[in-house]
Amino acid sequence: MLRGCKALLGAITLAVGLSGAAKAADWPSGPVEVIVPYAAGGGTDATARFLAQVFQEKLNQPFNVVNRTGGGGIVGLEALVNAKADGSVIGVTSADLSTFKWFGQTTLTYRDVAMVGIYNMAFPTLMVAEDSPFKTAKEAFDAIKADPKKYKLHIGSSIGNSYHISFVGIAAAYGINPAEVPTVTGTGAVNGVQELAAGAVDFSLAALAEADALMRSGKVRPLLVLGQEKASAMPDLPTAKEALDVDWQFGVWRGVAAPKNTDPAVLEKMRTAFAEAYATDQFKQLMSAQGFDVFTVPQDQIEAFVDKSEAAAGEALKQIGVVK
Amino acid sequence: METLVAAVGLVFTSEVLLTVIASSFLGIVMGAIPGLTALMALALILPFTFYMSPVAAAAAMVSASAMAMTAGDIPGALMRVPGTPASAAYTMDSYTLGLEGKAHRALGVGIIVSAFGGILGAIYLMLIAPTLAEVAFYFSSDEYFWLTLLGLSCTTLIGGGSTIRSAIAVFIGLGLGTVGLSVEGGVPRFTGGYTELLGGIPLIPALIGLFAVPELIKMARPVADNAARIVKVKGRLFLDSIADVWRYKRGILASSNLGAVIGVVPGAGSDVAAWITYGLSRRFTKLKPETTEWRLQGVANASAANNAALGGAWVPALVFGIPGDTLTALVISVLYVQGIRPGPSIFTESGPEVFAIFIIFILANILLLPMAWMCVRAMNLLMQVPRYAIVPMILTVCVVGAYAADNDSFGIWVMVVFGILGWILESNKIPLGPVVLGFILGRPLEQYFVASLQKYGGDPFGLLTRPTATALAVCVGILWSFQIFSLVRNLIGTRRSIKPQGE
Amino acid sequence: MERVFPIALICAGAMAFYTARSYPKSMFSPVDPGTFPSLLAAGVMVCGLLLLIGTFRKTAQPVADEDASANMGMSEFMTGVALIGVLILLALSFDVLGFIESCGAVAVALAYLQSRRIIASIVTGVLVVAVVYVVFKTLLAVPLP
Repeated sequence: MLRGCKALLGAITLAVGLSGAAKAADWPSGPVEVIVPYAAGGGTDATARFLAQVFQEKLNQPFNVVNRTGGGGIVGLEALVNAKADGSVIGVTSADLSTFKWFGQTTLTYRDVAMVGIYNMAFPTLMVAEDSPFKTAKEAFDAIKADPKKYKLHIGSSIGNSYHISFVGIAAAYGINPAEVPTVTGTGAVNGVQELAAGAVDFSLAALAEADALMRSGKVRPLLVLGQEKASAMPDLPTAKEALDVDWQFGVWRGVAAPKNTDPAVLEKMRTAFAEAYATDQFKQLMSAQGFDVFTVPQDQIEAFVDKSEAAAGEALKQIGVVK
Repeated sequence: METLVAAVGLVFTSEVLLTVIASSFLGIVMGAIPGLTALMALALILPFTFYMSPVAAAAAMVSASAMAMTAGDIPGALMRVPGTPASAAYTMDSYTLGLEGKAHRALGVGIIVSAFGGILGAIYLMLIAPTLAEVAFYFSSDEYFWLTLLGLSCTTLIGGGSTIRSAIAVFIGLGLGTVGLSVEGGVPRFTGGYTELLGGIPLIPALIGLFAVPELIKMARPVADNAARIVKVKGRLFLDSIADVWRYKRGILASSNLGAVIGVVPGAGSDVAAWITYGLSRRFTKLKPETTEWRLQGVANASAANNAALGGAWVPALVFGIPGDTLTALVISVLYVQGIRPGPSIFTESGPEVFAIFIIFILANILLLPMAWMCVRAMNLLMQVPRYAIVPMILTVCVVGAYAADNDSFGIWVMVVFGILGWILESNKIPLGPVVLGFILGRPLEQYFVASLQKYGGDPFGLLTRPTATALAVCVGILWSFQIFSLVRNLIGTRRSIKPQGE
Repeated sequence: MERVFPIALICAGAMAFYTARSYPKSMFSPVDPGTFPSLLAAGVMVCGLLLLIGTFRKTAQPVADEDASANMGMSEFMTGVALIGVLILLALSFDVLGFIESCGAVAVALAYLQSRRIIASIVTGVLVVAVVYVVFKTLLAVPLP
C-alpha cells in the first residue's frame, strides 16, 4: 500500500522533473548535489566534502554534500542510480557497496553508475595482542595452517565484510581453509582490537587508524597488510606478497560516480575536474590526516580494475560459503 | 595538564560558547513546556549538531539536557504539570507550595540545588570515568553482554509501575532492535522488503514518533479544561531560598551523591534517580509530613539527584559506549557521528574533547542559575501564546527532524508508524523509556551474545568462564530472582498495597 | 477492552516467532539469525500471557497512576485518529508538494482543529512553517524538498 502510493507519487515527481530537465552541455550549469551514502562526520563523508570544496572552487558552482544514509549505504547507492542524469547529481561509491549483491540484498553495483574516478584504496591489517607469541606474519599463518580450528579471529563486523574478504582470499591462497577458522563477529574493527586487548581473541582485522589508540598504548601490534599496497603510516609493515609470497588482494576502493545515463561530454568534464582535484596537495594532506592513503587508477583502466576487484570478492565469498 | 589546556582552548571559542547559550535557551524552553522532555530537546538539536564541531555538538547536548532537567520543575510548580518525567516525583509538593504562595521558594531551592547536583555529577564524571576506562580495557563481549543485560534488567526493577509492563516494554524495544541485517551474517530480518530498513530502524525518526506524537495527541485536544489553577511567582527567587538550601545541606549532598551513582548504573537515569532519592528522603525524614519544610526537603533532594544523574550517566556512555539513560543513548550516536568513539580508549583518542565536555558540564550548570531565573520570569509571557499555535509548531519541527536524520522522507513514515505505536503503548500504560532503551541496546546485546557464543563454539556456559563476567552474571541472577519472586507473590495474591510514591 | 492489548501482544509475539524460525541457518556461526528474535518473541508471549492473567485477577491489577490520564475518553481517541490521519497525508504528500506546501497545510489544519478560527489558523500555519523553513534550510542547509 505504502510502496504503491510512493511509487505513484514518484512517477508524478519524475514527470514534473523531466519537463524541466536541462541540456547540460556546459557542466556544471547549476548547483550540483553530492550524494554520500554514509553519515556525516565519517571518513568517506570527510573526503567527499573536501572533494566538493575543491570542485566548487575550480568550477564556480555550489557543490552540496547530502548524506543519504540508511540500509548500510544501499539507500544512498539507490538514490544515485535513480537520480537525474543531467549532471546535477554526483555521488561517492565504494567496493563495499558492490559486495551487497553477493548477499542478495540489492542487485545494484558500480555497474549501474558511471565511474568518474577512484581516489583511495584501503586494506586491513592483521592485529595481535602485544603479548602474542607470534612475532611475524609467517609464524601466525603457519600456526593457523597447522591447526585452523585453534585460533579465534575477530573480523570486525559481520561475516563477509570487506576486511573478512581480504583475509579469506589471502588465507586460501596460503593453503588455509578459511571456513574452518573460528570467526567472531562484532560491532566493528575498533571493537575487534579491544577484544584482542582483553585477551578474548587471538587475531583481529583492523585498519591502522582504527587500532591507533590501542597501538599507542602498547596493547596491540600489526603483523602485516592484508593486501599489496604499503601503508604510508607504517612503511615497515610487510605486504602479503613480502611476508607470505601471496599475490592475491582485495581492497576497498572509494570513488566518485555519476548516474548511468549522464551525457558523455559532461562525464568527460567531470573526469577532468576530478583529476585536477585529486592532484592538489590539499587533497593529499586531508586524506593522510584522516589516515587514508591516496590511490588512483588511470581513466581507461577503471573498468578492468573494478571488475577485478568484484571478481576477487566473489571468489573469496565462495570460499566461506556465502556465495554458492 | 597539556590535555587540560587544550580542552580549555576547545571550550572557549565563539562557536562553542554561542552553542552553549543557544542550546541552553532551547533546553530551558523545551523543559518548561509540559510534555516536551529533555530527550526531545536533544532529538531536536540533533540535526543541528551534524554541522557543528565535535565539542560544540557535545556542548549542545550537555547544556540542553541540564537546562531541560531543571526547567521541567517550573511548569510542575506553576500548573501541576511536570515538564519532564524526572520532575514528576515532586510535582505535587512544589505545586502545593505554589498554591500556598511559596512558589518562589520551591523553585529557588530547586534551581540552586540542581546546579549544585549537576556540578557534583560532573566531578563524578571526571574522577570515575578515567579509572573505569583502565578497567574497561579488560572487558570482552562476555562482560559487555552481562553489563548490558544488567542495565536492561534495572529498568524493569526501578522503572516505577508494574514489572510486567516494563518487561513488555523492554522486549518490544529489543524486538524492534532486531530489524535489519542479522548481526553475524547478512540475513535481512523483519524488513518487509524495505531497503531502508536493512541497517536497522532509523533511531531519530523512531524516537521523535514514539515520544512526540502521543504527547501531541494529548495537547491537540480541543481545550475545554481551562479550569486548572495557575500559580504566579512572587518574591525573590534566589535570595529567599538560600536559607532553605543551607538547612537541607546534608540531605542535598547525600542525594546528589546517590543521584550520580544511580546515573552511572547503565539503564537507570534521572527519572529513576529522582524517584529513588525522593522515596528515601521521605522514609528517613525527621520532619513532620505535609509541612512546608517537609515538602521543600523532598523537592531539594530529588532536584539535586536528577541533575547529578545527568553527569553520572555520561560515565558508562563514554567509557563503555553503553548509555546510562535514554539521553546519553542519543549522545552516543552524536559522538559517533562526530568521530569521537565512546569506549575505554576515548581518553587517549579524544582526550582534549573529553575534558572539554567536563568543563562544559560545569559551565552549563553555572549558567543554569541566570537562565532558569529568566525562564521563570518569562513563564507568564509564555503562557500567553495561543495554545493552538503550539501543536503545529512542534509538529513541523518534528517532521523536519525526522526527515533530516537521513535526508529521506522514509524518516517521516517511520515517525508516523512509531507515533501510532507510541500512542497504543501509552494508552495501555506501557512505559516508553524502557522501549527506547531496549531498542538502542538490542543490537549490541545480540552482538555480544553472538560473539561470545562464537568464541565458545556455541556453549552458553562459556559466558561464565571469565571472572568479571561471572560476577556480573551473579548480579543479573540476583536481580532476576527478586523480580520473579515479587511477581509470583503478586500473582498468588498476598499483595501488599503498593502505592506509587508521591501521591 | 483491557484484554485486547495482551491478546494482540501474544499474537504479535507468535507471528514474530514464526517469522524468526523461518530464517536460514547460519553455516558459519553457532548462533542462527533467528535465535535471538525467537527468544525475544517468546519473552513477549510470556509477558502478554501474564498480563492477560492479571486482567482476570482483580487483586493483581497494578495501581493505576493518575498522571497518565488512564481513562482515555472519546475525544482523545478522535484527536488521535485525526492527528495520525493528518500525519499520513503529510507523509504521502511530502515528496510531491515539498516541505512548505505540505507542512503548511498541516499546520493550518491543526491550528484550526484546536482553535476553530480560520484567519488565526492561517496566520499561525504560515508563520510557523516560514520560521522553521528559514532556520533549517537557510541557516543549517538541510536539503528540504
